[in-house]
Amino acid sequence: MKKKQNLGSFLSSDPRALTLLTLPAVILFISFVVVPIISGINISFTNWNGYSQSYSYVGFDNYRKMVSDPQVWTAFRNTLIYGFGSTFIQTILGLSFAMLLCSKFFFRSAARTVIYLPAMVAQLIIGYIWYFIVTYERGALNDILVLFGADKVDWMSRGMRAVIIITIINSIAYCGKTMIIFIAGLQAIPDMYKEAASIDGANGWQTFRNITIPMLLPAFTTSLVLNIIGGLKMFGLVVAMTNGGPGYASHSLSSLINNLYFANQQAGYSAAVGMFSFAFIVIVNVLLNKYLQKKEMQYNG
Amino acid sequence: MKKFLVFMLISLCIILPAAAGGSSESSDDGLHGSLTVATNASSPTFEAVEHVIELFMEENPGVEVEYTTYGSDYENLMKARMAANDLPDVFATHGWAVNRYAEYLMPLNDLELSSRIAPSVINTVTTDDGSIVAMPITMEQSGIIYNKTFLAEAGWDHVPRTLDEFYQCCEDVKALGITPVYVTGKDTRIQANMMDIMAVSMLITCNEAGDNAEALYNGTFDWSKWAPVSGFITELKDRGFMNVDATTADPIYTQEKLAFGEAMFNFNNQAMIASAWELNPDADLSMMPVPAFHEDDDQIWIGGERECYGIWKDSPNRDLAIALLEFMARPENVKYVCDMAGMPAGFVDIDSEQKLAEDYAQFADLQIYPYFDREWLPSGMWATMRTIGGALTAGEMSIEESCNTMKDSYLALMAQQ
Repeated sequence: MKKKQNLGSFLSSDPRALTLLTLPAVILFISFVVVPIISGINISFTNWNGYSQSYSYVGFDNYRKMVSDPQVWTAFRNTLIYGFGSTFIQTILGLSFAMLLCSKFFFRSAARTVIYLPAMVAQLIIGYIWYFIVTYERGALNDILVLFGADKVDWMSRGMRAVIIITIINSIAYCGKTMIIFIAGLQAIPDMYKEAASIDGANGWQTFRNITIPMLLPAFTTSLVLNIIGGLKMFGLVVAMTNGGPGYASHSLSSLINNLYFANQQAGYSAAVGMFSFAFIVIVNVLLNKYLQKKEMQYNG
Repeated sequence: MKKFLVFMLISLCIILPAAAGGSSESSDDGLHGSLTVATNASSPTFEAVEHVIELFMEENPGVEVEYTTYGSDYENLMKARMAANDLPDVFATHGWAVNRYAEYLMPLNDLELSSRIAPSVINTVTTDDGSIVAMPITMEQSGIIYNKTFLAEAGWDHVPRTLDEFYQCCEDVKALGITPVYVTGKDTRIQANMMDIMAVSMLITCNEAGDNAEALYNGTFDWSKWAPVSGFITELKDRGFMNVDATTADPIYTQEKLAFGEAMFNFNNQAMIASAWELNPDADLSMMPVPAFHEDDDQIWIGGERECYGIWKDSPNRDLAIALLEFMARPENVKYVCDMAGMPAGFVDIDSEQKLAEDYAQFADLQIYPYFDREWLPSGMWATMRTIGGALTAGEMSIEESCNTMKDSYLALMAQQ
């Protein structure tokens, strides 16, 4: 009992002592974020194979090689499509569902649950479920085509088509998350603005364009940032649905990094691609945050 | 507070030694301790080895062996564990005993079992300095899986001897409405395996091979010579000899396609025939040698170690691990695994019953060569072969690009050595 008081008085004696309480978080951050990043940078300058006890330094060779490697650029292009494509579709779907499910009707809660449910399932599982829908042999989609007398299609056999299908699946599966963010945003809009608008004779579109959208900007910021990061880190769906194939045509940067590190035994090169991916995500997010903050200031400030 | 700390310390003192476990002592009343054994084997080999390990534990009641399969994640997990220098006491080397795992394996030369390893496979588990680093229970003698009934129906009284005959046979089978070559490209291992086998015939054993083998060892190989190997994939694809979904089919379908006669040829080892027989014991399947590249070349077999175990050199339970390996190497146990797995034995004087023995006997005078990547390429090229194999099947890469990709990857990996 006495000890407790001592600890309490120690913490209250000096406000700076309170910073001690952040220690557990700082230790975790250092060991699981800072150290891996530093060791990743270190590995990216070596030719390590990923398992041997010895390796040698090769300077900037890995970074130079990256510039002319078609695999990296294909994966980079795909990553952009996964990131921005899914964000675009997810935002439209999420906002539509949110608007729909904010109005009162009988099955509202059930409908919200059903739309949100896939977002709770891991990407890999979603991927395997969809694989059996789009697969050539006994795939559900092809079975439907055959039912209508059409020929079966090998959906994932062309690179760009596979990338687009994965983007759409990602958007459908995870639009529930976006919907939840927008519902919260919509519920925070005070009714008085809409009432004032309707008294002024604004129609539905005008209310949506001039009141709902500006008031939803903070929700947009949150959902855009989360969705873009999610899309840029795309991994599970690619592995489950195409494994990066055909060839390397549907790899994202994350699945390519995984493939280079473990399968290709080029841990050094893989780390270099990882650093590139890391830097890219940071830059995109800094720019995006700046832009959206400016927009919010314009409307709110 | 103080009381709590003391309590925690005492608890730790009790828990830690218990959790550390794995201590092996061989006292007078038998062996004691625990062992971890890891493999990538799947059914039926896994069950067979598991049974042998259970017998070992029955004979040594003081020993606890944890036998697990990591399946297709095996290589990745083992690479991570090698990087951390923390390996299972005993682990499977799946063809890479020398080129990848040797650095971590204990030499077995002093054990009696090393003198009984079959001569046809001993080189694949022996390092340059003569250390035998792993023990092959089963070995592989592979070529191309084929369906005997379809071969006869297509009007053939012998298996295709040359590459041209192979293409002709595909044509004849296709005319019957059967998929000539079944490829499951969602996992590009299959295409890599096709090239891995054909490359030996096209680059090493054919009469035109010249000094290719030497050039591959010392890094001076002219990679434009790889073109026919890539060409094998594009030829099969372009002439419609592969299944329509060759780029996207999942390997889980192979077993039933072979079992129920929906495909003629497949590039896998005997284990796939054994698992097809699990679904349909009457499936008329067999194994044929790799066709010769040209008319005047010889057919060949591809082989090497299959279910093969080594001991981690830093294992704290070495004595126990040695005892387990010696037990597994007993002739009756080797025979049991071979019979169950449908694979030839990696030891001499094992009288195992092979369903395919008669078919193999027809080609008894053919030579067995190792897989191309295990012998003539640096470790890590397998993934490159998977990449180009997938891209060639999908038509996303030209033959020339595939040669260049092989060259770049080869030079990068040679530089690591």
